[in-house]
Amino acid sequence: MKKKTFVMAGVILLVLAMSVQAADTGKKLSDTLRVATWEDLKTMDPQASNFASNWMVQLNIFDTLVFETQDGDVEPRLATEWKFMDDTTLEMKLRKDVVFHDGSKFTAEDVLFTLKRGKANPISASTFASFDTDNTVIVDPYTIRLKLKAPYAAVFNTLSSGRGSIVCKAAVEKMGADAFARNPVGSGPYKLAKWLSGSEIDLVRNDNFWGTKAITKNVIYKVIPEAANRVIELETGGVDGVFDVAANDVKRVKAMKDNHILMGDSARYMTLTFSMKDQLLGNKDIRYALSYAIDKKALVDSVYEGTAAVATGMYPSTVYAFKKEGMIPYDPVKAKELLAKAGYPNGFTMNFLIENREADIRLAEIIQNMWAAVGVKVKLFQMSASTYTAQGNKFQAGMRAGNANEPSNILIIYDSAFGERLEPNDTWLDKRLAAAKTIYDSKKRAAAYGEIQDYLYDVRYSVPLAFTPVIYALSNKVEGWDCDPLMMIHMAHVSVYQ
Amino acid sequence: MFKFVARRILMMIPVLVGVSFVIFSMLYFAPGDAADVILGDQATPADKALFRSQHGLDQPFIVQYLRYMEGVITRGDLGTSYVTRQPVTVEILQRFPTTLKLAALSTLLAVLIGVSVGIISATRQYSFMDNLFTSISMIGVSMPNFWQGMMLIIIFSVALRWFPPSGFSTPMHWVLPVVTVGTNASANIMRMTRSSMLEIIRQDYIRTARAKGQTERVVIWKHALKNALIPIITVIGLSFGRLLGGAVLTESIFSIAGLGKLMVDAIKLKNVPLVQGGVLFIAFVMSLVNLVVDILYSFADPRIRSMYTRPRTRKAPAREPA
Repeated sequence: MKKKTFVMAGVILLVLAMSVQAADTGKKLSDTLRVATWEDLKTMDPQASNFASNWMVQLNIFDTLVFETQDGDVEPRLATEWKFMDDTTLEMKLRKDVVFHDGSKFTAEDVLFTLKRGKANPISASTFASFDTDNTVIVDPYTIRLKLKAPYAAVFNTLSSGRGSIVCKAAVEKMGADAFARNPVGSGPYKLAKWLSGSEIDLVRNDNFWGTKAITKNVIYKVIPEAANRVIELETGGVDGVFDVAANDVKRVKAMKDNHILMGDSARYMTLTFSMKDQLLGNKDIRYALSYAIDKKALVDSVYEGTAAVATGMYPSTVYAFKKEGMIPYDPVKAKELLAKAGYPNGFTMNFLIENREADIRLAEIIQNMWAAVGVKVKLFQMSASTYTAQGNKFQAGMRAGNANEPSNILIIYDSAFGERLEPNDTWLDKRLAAAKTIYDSKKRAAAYGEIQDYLYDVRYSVPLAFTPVIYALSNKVEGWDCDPLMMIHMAHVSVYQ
Repeated sequence: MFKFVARRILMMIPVLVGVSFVIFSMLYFAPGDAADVILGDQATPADKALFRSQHGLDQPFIVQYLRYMEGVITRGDLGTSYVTRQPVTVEILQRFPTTLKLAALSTLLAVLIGVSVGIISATRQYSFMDNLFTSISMIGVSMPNFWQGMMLIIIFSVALRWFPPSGFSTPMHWVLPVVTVGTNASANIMRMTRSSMLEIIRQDYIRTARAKGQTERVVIWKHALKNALIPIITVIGLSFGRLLGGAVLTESIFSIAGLGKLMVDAIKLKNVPLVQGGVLFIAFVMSLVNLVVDILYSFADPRIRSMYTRPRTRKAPAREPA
């Protein structure tokens, strides 16, 4: 009896306490944010990275000189102001109050050091090709004059990309690049606290950060490779946010009471590529016939379960200077006419090479059937990524899954210098691509890329298929999570309630 | 005994050299190299050439192989991972404790279930219990690991919320993966225990034991099981050794950072040093497990023990009854 009264009193007290708290603050912030990512980081070294999964975490540990917004505006970060002395010289003033995680002060030396190591690492070398580090001058510890080999319009895009993250020169020199790759020293809002290889990355707030300090003290990235398991982990309360949700999980999350889906346009796309070295595909009529024979709407809807859009241009609509060309029509009758005109009224047999990823396989198998309907038989080859890139241009058609937000990087596959996959050896195109890179004026540059996109749509070296969205699944307790098209989520702005 | 162990360890050397050569050639002659995969298709030929020269990939096959073996033999250095720039030894040893834990716990569970159920089935041959257990074990053998794992997640994580669905950090996390791997392995052990026990139970000495009035429990557990043990140990050893190489499917389903997942990722990225080092390590562990199994035989069977012991020491037990 006594015990019962005691318990009752306890319950009443608890309810009282809870109501007081609710009246007081409404919701209480949690000090730990747990998110699920699809793969472990290969390295914490930004210049040795070429995977979104790496930069996605690194961007919270490191800072860049500038930050280019989705609209193309350039915001100051480690650099406070900048101006072009001439077409190939960019003078930048740097912040004076920045301290790296190890306590050393940030200066222009760190900037030059970062650019130099970017050029020296084959993983980043082509990105920094336009930077002339030998003639870059440190005017004083907080002023640097960046020299470019030629006018380079994507300079701010490169500087604000993951590879442009500024590393601490003293730390790299002290511990060596290999140790640095496991123990990063940056100046970002978070520091690396713990890294359990293959399973977990823990970040802790950097209380000496120069800017607005992070809201949530700890961020834990859990590595869960299976897409379905990431969603289950959210459903069972193991994490608060999920990166890279599979299209077939969207409905499931939408039905959950405590979680929701955040979906938006991304920088990801799927394109069918034709090998121009091949005599058959060198014929424009055949390329047109093949592009008309695909029912893009049915294809994209069935593979992506309604989450993706049919491609309406040569690269994703979120990217700078996107030009809407419209969907390539589905017209099997015209396809047959064109095949007859090219001298193949009964079709032919061709090779089609894809990587063994689920979406690629499903797309290719449906395309195989659609082409068969106009008489073109396809031999499908599935290969791992290594074999795929190594085979060069031996097969006639291929599939490209891209994820980039800078036109000069996306269109590199059409460049003769690039070689693999398409090899159009199109001098007109090469000249235009090179020229567009050097135009600083945003309007003129957009016009140049517009012209290139029109040309590519017409010449049909490739058939854009789908623009796939970026999909996050979040707990309703999470706030401040932007729908970034490249999954570059700045955790410092994200809060989670208890 | 010492001589036997030493000889067995020496015999591992040619095995490991053979394994390393086969793996190295397979990776070398397969199309594509690390430069293609790691740099991706946005890299220019110049970038790839730079990567290849930095990692010695532009050297002839035999030079690459000898250079690798030189590191292994003189410095015990398995090389550096192309992807993470960490020593391969470190990468493997980071993952191995998890794999070892999963393998050991699963094997323990498998032995507990397999041996006890096997004995029950054998002693009550063709009874209802025997039929039931035999059919359950048939299901256990034929049920794919990944399917069983997913079912366990759906029931015990999603529906009941008893255990977390992924990871391997706390004992609560161990339960589902260990049950997945353990029940699967137990089916084989159970079948082997049953057939081996059935054979022994029909022997004359079991009848003798019963005839002299020994209790059934002692007859089964002491006289019969001890004699039936050799094939059971073999099956347990094989399954444990296999698990130490990493249970790839189970690791993927439960997002466990074990050796299996590490190896599969390394193969995908053509990370030659890591694949090479991993295979060598697994071959080494497998040889060790085989050795331990052989030593265990001698504990289970005095006849085998006598083969390794010197005549002088062998005399000792003979004197005892006198």
